[in-house]
Amino acid sequence: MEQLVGSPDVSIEACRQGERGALDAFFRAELPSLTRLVGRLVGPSGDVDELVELTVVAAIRAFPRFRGEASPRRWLASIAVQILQRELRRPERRRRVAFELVPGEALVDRAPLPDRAADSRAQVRRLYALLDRLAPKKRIPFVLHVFEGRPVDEVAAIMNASIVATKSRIFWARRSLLASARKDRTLRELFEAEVVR
Amino acid sequence: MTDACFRVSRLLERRASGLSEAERLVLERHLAACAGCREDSTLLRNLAELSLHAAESSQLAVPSERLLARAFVRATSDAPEQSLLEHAFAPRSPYALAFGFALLLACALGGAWLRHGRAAPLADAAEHNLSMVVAGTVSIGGRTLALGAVVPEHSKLSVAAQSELALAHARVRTEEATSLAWSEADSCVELADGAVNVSVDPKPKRPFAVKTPLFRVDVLGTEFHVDARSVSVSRGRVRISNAVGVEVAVLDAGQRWRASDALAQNAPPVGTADAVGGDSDVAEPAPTVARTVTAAESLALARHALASGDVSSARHAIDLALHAHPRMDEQAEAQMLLGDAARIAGNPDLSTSEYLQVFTRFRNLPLAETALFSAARVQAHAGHNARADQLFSSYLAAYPRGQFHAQALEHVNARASEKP
Repeated sequence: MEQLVGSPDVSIEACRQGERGALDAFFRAELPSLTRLVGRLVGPSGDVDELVELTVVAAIRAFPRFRGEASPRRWLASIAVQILQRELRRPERRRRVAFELVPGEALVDRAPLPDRAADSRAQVRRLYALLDRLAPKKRIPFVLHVFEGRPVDEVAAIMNASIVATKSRIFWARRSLLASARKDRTLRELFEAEVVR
Repeated sequence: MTDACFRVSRLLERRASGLSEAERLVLERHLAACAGCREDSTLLRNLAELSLHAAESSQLAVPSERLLARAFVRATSDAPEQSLLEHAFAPRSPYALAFGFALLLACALGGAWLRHGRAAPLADAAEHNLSMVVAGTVSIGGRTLALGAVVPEHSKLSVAAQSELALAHARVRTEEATSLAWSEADSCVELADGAVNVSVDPKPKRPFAVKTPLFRVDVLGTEFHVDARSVSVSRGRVRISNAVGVEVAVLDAGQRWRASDALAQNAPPVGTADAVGGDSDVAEPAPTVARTVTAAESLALARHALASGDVSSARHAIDLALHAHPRMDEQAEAQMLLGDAARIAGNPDLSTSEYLQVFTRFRNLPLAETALFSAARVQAHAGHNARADQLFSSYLAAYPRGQFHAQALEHVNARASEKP
């Protein structure tokens, strides 16, 4: 029987047939990596729970059509990316992101933190604010390839785009992000030295 | 940028996914010689590091069991998500695109023509974006501002009756003694006390808002009246949202809305009129567009607030949900979220108490099982092992074939093995 990668006790067939136990085990095994992926794509915006849940809902419904051509993890990533693309286009989200840029609005900012950690959080927020300015179709492949280190062909498959188009989008996203980051006061120090964490 | 820099920039993009030895050498050699590319390299590496930091600190606000349980319920009950996705990515007909473009162009030209032909009542204030005292008496902490003085931001202003302020592209007049603060950055008047009549020039096409402790009115080109509990519109249209940002009503000219109605949930159900007579400024109400927020919407908002760690907004939204005549399952969900809020706020005992109330009050709902398990888990995480053992045992007894059976059993067995 065909087994799921990383989840040796779970069979694809059982998941396709909608067996609750198999699906439960599959998603339980995949949730950490899915959460990490979504967290990396959206940043500290607080949408991670909702996006992960929407991805799981879509995946449960789509499992009967899963052909097994890609690994289940990549298949799940492509669902997450589709959900994310839709969410990033929503104007409410754009407004909410803009609102989060106001210093001191996020709950985390109200907690006393060491200076270094606070700087780092501010930089993370600025990074994602700059990424929010990019179109989702450029931002997502850029993060997946340049930050996450996924090969271009995999990113193209996840994005359902050609390799040439994906490379071009990554190129323009990088140029635009670096240009914005150069002008950003919060991110200025990142030019100077490697960040030590 | 030279050709070499261009090639190296592509190598920088691919660095995280792996370079060959030859490519690595080319990259290193170029970086040693080119300061611009070296800077790009450092910046890109540091940005990747920040993004990794964001990924590693991403955690689910709700336990994974809860998230999965909810996802399974949604997967079987909601409208199919897949069709939505397919629709979103369906190829558009070129004719439809051309038609849409032509329509947009016509709207833009028509709008420009209309705006051009209209007199701008507040042209000075709008064009010069002045925020100043126009008439009456305005004071800050006992100091009176002269006519024409700039209105300072974020200061508590005491404005006498029949005074007038030009704030960005709006004119604000007071009917009675009023206390307010002005925020230029988001064009928002925070009304602490009293009442204002606002006339907003639509020309700049920028938002303007009036915020009270109970609600917020967003507006684009209109005249309306706001006091602490109500809004009435003379011209144009406004959108009212509650303190946590959920839209509660949209008012057209001639309509009036009372905060108490919505917040105490005595407001009429969705789609019915919220007419309040007896106000000379207000015309006969037109067929209404006022809408009350549903329990489900408030719960969604609460979940979102919890996910971002905003416990106080979440509690407020849960409170709204509980006042919106929730169904039995929504009541259970609200109580469950109160438990989650207490857990996130670092109060395991209150959290356990809320979860256990879900278990006892809604025993016949599937959520009861999750609630009992969550209560046990919270106690275990808090280090209250005896209480956790008791709750896990209760869970195993109540749900011998429950979805968390394996985890509960694992805990009980682990604890049993620890005992001498």
